[in-house]
Amino acid sequence: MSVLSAPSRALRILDFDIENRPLSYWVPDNPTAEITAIASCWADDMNSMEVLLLGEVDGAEMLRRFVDRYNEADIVTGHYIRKHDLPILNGSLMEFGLPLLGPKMSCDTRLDMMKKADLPATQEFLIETLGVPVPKVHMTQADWREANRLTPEGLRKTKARVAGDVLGHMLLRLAMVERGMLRAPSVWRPGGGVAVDSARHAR
Amino acid sequence: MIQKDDIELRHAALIKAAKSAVRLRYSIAADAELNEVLPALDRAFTAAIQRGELPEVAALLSENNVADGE
Repeated sequence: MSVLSAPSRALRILDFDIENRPLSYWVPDNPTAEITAIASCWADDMNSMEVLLLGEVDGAEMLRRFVDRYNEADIVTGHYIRKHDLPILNGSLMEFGLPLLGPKMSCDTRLDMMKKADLPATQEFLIETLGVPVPKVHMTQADWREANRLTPEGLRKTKARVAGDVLGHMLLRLAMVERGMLRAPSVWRPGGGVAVDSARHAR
Repeated sequence: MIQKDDIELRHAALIKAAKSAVRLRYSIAADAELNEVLPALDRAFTAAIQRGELPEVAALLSENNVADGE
């Protein structure tokens, strides 16, 4: 069949967010990171929210389950995912000896936003400014310290925070699209090459 | 290669210049039309993607009056 006559189809858009904690001292003001949570939800199904928490599953399992969804998606979306979440995920995959992320069409609501100056670009600010009806799950320093200790109460707080961020982002992206604030999605290219035998290196 | 005489060279130049002039006129006209059409198609395609739909190419061309003979 020619691409000219190929029928339209629904795209699988995966909205996601990660939380991470500092793990070791590295360069000043920039410790190494460890992923503590990954939340993802299909854009057309609010009931598909999946939250993976370090402390409930191990790091490798979190990554495997997220990558399954990532590979199924036509587009991944989130706030600052091309510079933060996706590279951190790829680094973790490398550390665990798991197959790395491939290129993926992406909609980054921070990096794809129209040009502006002297205003914040945080998800929290945009949600409030655009009147997106979703509460922000605020975490104090004490909350973060407990969350990063992976205590049961800490895990509960992390889960609420990361799921809340994904839900908020799903609505934020639609609001930004409606207002013409986002340019077209673009492919995130992680670099690297083609693994000869990626399964061989798993820890 | 057979060497052409002055008459043949002059004739070839005439035909070539005529072809180039006609093609240039249509090419410039095409640039002007595409300057309107391509951005519109791009906007429609991007809007569909953002809605979660991979659109049918033929349908988009038809909706923007870009089909064979139009």
